[in-house]
Amino acid sequence: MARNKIKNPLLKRVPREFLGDWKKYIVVMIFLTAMIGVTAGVYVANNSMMAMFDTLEDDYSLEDGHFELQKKATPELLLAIESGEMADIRKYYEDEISEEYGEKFLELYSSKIDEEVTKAEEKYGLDDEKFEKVSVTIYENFYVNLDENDESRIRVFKYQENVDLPCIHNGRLPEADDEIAIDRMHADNANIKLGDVINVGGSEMEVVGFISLANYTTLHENNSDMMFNALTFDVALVNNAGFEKLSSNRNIHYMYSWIYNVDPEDKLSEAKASDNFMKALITQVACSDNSIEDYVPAYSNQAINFAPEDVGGDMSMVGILLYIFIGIIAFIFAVTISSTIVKESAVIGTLRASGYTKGELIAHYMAMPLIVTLLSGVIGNVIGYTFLKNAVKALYYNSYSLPVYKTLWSSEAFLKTTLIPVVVVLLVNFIVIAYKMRLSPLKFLRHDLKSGKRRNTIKLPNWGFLSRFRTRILIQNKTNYIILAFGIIFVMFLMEFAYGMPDALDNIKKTVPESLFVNYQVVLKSTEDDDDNEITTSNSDAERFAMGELIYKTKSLDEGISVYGLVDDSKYFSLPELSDGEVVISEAFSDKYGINVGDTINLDAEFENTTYEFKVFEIRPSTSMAIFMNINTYNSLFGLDDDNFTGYFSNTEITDIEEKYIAMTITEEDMIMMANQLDHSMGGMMKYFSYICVIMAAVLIYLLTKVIIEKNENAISMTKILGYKTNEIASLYLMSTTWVMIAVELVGVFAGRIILGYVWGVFLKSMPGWVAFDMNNSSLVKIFFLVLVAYFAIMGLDYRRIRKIPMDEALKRVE
Amino acid sequence: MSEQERKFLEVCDLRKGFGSGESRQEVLRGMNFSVSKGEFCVLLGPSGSGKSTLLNIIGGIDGADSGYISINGDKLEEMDEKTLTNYRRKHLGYVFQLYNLIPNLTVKENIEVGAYLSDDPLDIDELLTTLGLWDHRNKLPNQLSGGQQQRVSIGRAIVKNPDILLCDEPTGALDYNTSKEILKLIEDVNAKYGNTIIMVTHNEAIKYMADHVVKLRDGVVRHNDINDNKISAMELDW
Repeated sequence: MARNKIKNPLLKRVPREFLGDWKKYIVVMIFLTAMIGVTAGVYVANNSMMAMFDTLEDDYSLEDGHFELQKKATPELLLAIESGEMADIRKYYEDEISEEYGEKFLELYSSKIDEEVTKAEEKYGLDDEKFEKVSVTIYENFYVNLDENDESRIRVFKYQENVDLPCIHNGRLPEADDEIAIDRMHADNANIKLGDVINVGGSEMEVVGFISLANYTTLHENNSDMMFNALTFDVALVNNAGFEKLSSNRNIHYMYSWIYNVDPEDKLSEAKASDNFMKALITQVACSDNSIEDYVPAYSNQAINFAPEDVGGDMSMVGILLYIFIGIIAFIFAVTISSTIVKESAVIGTLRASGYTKGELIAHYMAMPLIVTLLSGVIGNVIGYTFLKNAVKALYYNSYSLPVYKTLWSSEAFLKTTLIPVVVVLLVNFIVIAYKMRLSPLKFLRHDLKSGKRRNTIKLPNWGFLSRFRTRILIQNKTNYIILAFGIIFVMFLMEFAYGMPDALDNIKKTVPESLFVNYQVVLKSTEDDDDNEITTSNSDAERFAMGELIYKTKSLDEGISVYGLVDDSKYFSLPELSDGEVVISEAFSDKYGINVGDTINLDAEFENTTYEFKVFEIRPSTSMAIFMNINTYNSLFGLDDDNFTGYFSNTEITDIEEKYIAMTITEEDMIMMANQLDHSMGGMMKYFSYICVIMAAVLIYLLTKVIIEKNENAISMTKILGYKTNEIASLYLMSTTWVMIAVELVGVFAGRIILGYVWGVFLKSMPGWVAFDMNNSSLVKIFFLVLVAYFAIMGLDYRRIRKIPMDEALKRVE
Repeated sequence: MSEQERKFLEVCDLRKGFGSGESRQEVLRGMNFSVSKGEFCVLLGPSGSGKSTLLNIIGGIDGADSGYISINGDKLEEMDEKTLTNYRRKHLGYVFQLYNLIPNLTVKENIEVGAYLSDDPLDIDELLTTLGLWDHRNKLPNQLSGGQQQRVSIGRAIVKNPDILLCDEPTGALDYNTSKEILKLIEDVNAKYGNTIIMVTHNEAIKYMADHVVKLRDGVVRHNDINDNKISAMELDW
């Protein structure tokens, strides 16, 4: 009678192997668990946030876009825009002329009307045969921009219940005209508490609620801002009476938000709908006594899209980092197992000779890495789902103005942080172990694990004995050293990011004031006041300038470039002698797109089919994305009146222009706002990140040098028997690693710098603006020494390990 | 005994060489002999006579250049790697000069390593007693003497009750007394379980305990003798 099949006794080795080498496995497990935990935390938190972003439309009536008119729209105009139909411009012109001069003049003006209509059709593509009307519902969403406590700017909206609804985090919505609800994130940054009274444009307002607005998940003051600014920019809600009070005699922004009556199915149809709607809007507004100041469909609104894009991007980034790390761990396992296979070669030979299959032995040696990875995955997920997701959430809620979200349990997170790491470890180890196991049992029995023809021993030059000995150790352990090199270069790359980012931000803060050619740039809404008089200032140092925006199109981004028209002999920015079509460009623009003097650049008008061609004459230090030309050239280029201008430059603050006429004032603060916000959001994190990198380097060194020493235990024991002292042995075995470490670190520092510069460029080219990557040499030196210190700490442990190897080790190992 | 049992293991014109060109060395130069089922056969010869190579080919862990080995009618040369592994698993047990035990498994577990390969293994506890290892069953290999370790190694090979037990210099690393104890154990195993045993040795004295002695020199069989007056292992002296 057949007995019960015995369970594979080799399985019993697995827990013993773990206990026998627990330090190694615990270190690997802690690191794997932490990495998987963080990644799981990011996946869970970010997936939950992504789900929340998807519900903004339903839960908070997020707009499909908004436009701003110069004046409040009449109910007729709103109805016409809502219809989505294009207005008949020809009829409008004809009616205007008939009304003004009588019908008999129509014929006289017909050619002029034709010309105007053709021009408008060409400019806005109104003769598009594919035009389809897109009906929308429009809601008033008026606001005023005011000062908050003389420290920040606050955009105050009139509360309405139709669109872009607030999420109330604390407190309530304002009920009296001296009450205000402000953005939660800004309140936190500005240390404003519920019940505090803040000064809003000169009025005392009590903060009764902390909110986040669906259309301001990041506080982007302008859609062209590279970075949001929750430090000195705020959004707020007041009730009708409060709005009346705050907007009285001020420049009200007549913003209207629209929601499509039929939801576009996808991004493409959304873009098409927006295109059609814009044509209807342009014609309808053109046929009324009004003009469009701003037009931003939701899909291109930074304040709406920045957070989801960042949250999604971070998930991919963390995922990639995890997989690289898992790859390194998988190779460390593979190296460790390879060394075990060499050590146990006779046992393997015996087992194979006894009838154990290759598959059984491959499975046996793969068990430990798989179990460690699986365990780390499960524990990491538990930690990620319970604690770390809150830490990740806090990270985002410390930067963004997000509505509250519900944690969603994501099976995708578990798969990506457990299944994929297990598969990576399985694959790498399977390939390495299967490769080792392909040899015949006899080769294992004879400890002859080199395949194919034996290569001749590498002949070394006539160096001293010790140098040759060390070189032999290097050659013997080349695989370990290659993995160590990859690991260390990877870690150094991460460290350079951790140090490079604050360096780049510091650099901005330092160079912006140096490259700023004027302290205040006041951009006017209109150059004439309500009485049609030109708006002037008494500031003696004020100087007129013109400014507009053109688009520089690349595959990944349509970037807005400021086009400046400067007066002759400008005090602030003296232009060289420029011929037709020649411009001066900013260093940031040049750096970002690799544009050099003599190059030709093409810039497109935003809402028309016109492309302007410029030749770069000179590059000037400036951190803004801009080109500069003479104001006369500017006006003639854009078909503007000779005396057209946009605003004033001044080194002293302009205080004598009424706020309602000012569209924006650009100061040094605005230019470094991005650096400040990034510093605030990520500065602290980067410091901890660099410490984690040092620990990661130490772990890599620990694991790989351990394998090298264990592999040579027999030889070390024998050298002890021969009379070598521990110091001498350590100098033989550790010096080789020291050489490798120093070489790898040198390569790592410079290769990391080059790779990071490249990655930085690719990353920033996908978003507006430019921050030159400029890492301080002192940071590079710091990184070099931090990793070296980690190495020396591990070297101490290795020395202890060598000292502990007993002399009878060589005698015990009879095989 | 049937003809098939008489020629249970047949070595036919077996040739094997190593290297190529001028450095080629012929280790087996056409060997012929057969071993009966249940026989204790000793392959005797000096170093370099080809006895270990022959044993490895019989064990299916090395291949011949020409000629063949058949075991119970199955020609090893005709088996692919998978079949050979399966063959070793089902029919062969191996004992080496160095014990090659798994260091982090106990005595009993090391024997279970062999038992796992069989659908019908011997009773391990009984075998431990037979091997004289019952008291040491929970010890790790490094807590045992060389002789005890070799007993474990024999236990690991015999537990699956193989048709053929291949022993490659099993006493090569042991002292006189321990060697005799191990030989006695192999003798007992042969008597108790009836396995065919093929033992490679260079110790002339061992031939006296064998049923069949094949003397090798320079890659050929010099003598192929049946020993009708075999003595017990404990009576051996050298």
